[in-house]
Amino acid sequence: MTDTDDLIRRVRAELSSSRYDAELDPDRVLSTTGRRIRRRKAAIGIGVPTVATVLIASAAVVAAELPGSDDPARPLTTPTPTAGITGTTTTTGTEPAAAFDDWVPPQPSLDAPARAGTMIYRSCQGKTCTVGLGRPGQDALPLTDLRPDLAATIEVGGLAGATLSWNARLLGLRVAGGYEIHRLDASPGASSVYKVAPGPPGSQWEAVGWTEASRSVVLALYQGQRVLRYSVFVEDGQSFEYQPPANLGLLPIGADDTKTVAVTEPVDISRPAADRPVVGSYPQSFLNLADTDGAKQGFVWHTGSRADLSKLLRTGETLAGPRGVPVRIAAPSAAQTQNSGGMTAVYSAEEGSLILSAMIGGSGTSGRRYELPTSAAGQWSLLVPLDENSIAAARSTPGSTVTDLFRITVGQEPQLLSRFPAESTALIPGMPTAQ
Amino acid sequence: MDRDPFEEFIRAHLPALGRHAVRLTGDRDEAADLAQETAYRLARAWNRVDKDGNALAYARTVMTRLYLTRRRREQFIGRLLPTLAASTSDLDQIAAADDRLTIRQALSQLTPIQRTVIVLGYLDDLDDHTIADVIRRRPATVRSIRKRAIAALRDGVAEKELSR
Repeated sequence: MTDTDDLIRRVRAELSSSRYDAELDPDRVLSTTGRRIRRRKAAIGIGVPTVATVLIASAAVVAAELPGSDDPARPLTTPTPTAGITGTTTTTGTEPAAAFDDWVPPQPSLDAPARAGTMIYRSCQGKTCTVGLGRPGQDALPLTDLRPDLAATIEVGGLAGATLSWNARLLGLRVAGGYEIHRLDASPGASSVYKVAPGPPGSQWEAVGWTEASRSVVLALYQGQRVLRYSVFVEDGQSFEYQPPANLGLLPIGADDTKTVAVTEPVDISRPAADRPVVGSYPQSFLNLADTDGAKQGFVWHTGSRADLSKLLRTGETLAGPRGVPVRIAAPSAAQTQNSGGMTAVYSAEEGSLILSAMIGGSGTSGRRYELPTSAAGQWSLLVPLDENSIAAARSTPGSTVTDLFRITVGQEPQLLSRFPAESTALIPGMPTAQ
Repeated sequence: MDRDPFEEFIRAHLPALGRHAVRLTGDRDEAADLAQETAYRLARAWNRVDKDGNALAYARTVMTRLYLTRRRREQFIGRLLPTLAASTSDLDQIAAADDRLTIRQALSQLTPIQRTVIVLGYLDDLDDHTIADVIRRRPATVRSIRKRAIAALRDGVAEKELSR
């Protein structure tokens, strides 16, 4: 039996070890604190945010549910601005807003991807919707703290077609038929950094994808199975548009770099998903969206090679996605070095619909499948690569009020990253469109 | 030029606050968030706290209560993240070096309030009345929590040592 004094001595020794040093940067703590204080003063000065009515209304519900909300241990008299995991918030109108750094802590560079588990979700109860900023291992924050203007837009318009850059600083939204790119780290009410006009009736803008360092996003104006126009926004402020000829016959697979998209010929999507030709390999071409050193805008570079992933497909699976072409997503390299090559989505037809069933990193014999867990309970859905070695997947369990976001890495147990309310629309960095 | 007193305080005491946060949470990332939030709360109350003359004690109290509040919320909604265990190779190295791994694992099994009472009592050397004030419980409750914490630690250590 262990002697109590000896036990206490060992506990003291352990908790006194250097393992418990935090190595915090005082400059960072001071700057973040100063910014939050200034924002609080500004918030008090300008009064109640425009969407506070909804938030206060939902706060009453949360206060009744969360044991911590009437916590006598709370050290301050002012209510804490918190978006709980339930998606509702306890923000009051004059409470200081969270800063962008509270959601996405400063990284070594602006190019670095946000921490896995960072996300935006929209959750609705009846006609009341809230937008949360999910953080790994912590309570979510309300988007109203950062950008009440964008929160109001998403609460009403939803996240369909939205896209979030890898570093979580740029958010693309469909607005009034057009498309806008906003900086989430800008001041509330800041105008968009890029805006494209609506297309003709029946068309809509979609994000083809981000280059992995969040430097640019390629948008495509689709009308049926045709792209009417491409538009590219580069973070340094550049932008360019390209209107492909009507007979081009090639659709984008994914953003290749700032000025190029990978393209291929689509399969006919007018047939039911289960009856479409299986695509396991496809010819790769590249379309210049702007002039490059060697070629003009609109130049199509046929490589002559085929991406062949057929050996990694199972019966009933295909690479042809909802637009009839493969979907390739550039994933940040875990080492944040060069292009990781991204991952290609694998689909299977279930009850007439295409279901994203796996992802393949690499190509040919060096390709590797990333699958959803089969042993764990719940309903799983794939989302997007997190880096070159792992993917994000969501698990919802019947009767549960939350959905879990996991990192899936080959040969390892799924790692729980964060949670968001069940029945939400989720948007995580790099995802071409919200799901 | 004189530094702002709040800045001076943060520069002088952030290492101690950070250590307190890691001891409570057992996780450096969470500790960094906790320390940041504590600094913000402290800044808001600085004029009052500075006059009282014991800003460090106030900051530790704020931090401890923030930690317990967060943990209570997590208990309600389910823990966001499983307790992160050291990697296998890490465990091997540490176990070979000393018996701290056993203690560490036993500490990780404590409830947040038990761990808090252990940290405040045996690392910060606070008496039961002060601990009771910090965690807003009665001194008798503090004693009860400590007793259960030590029993849990003893069980955890015994279990690990038997399994070796």
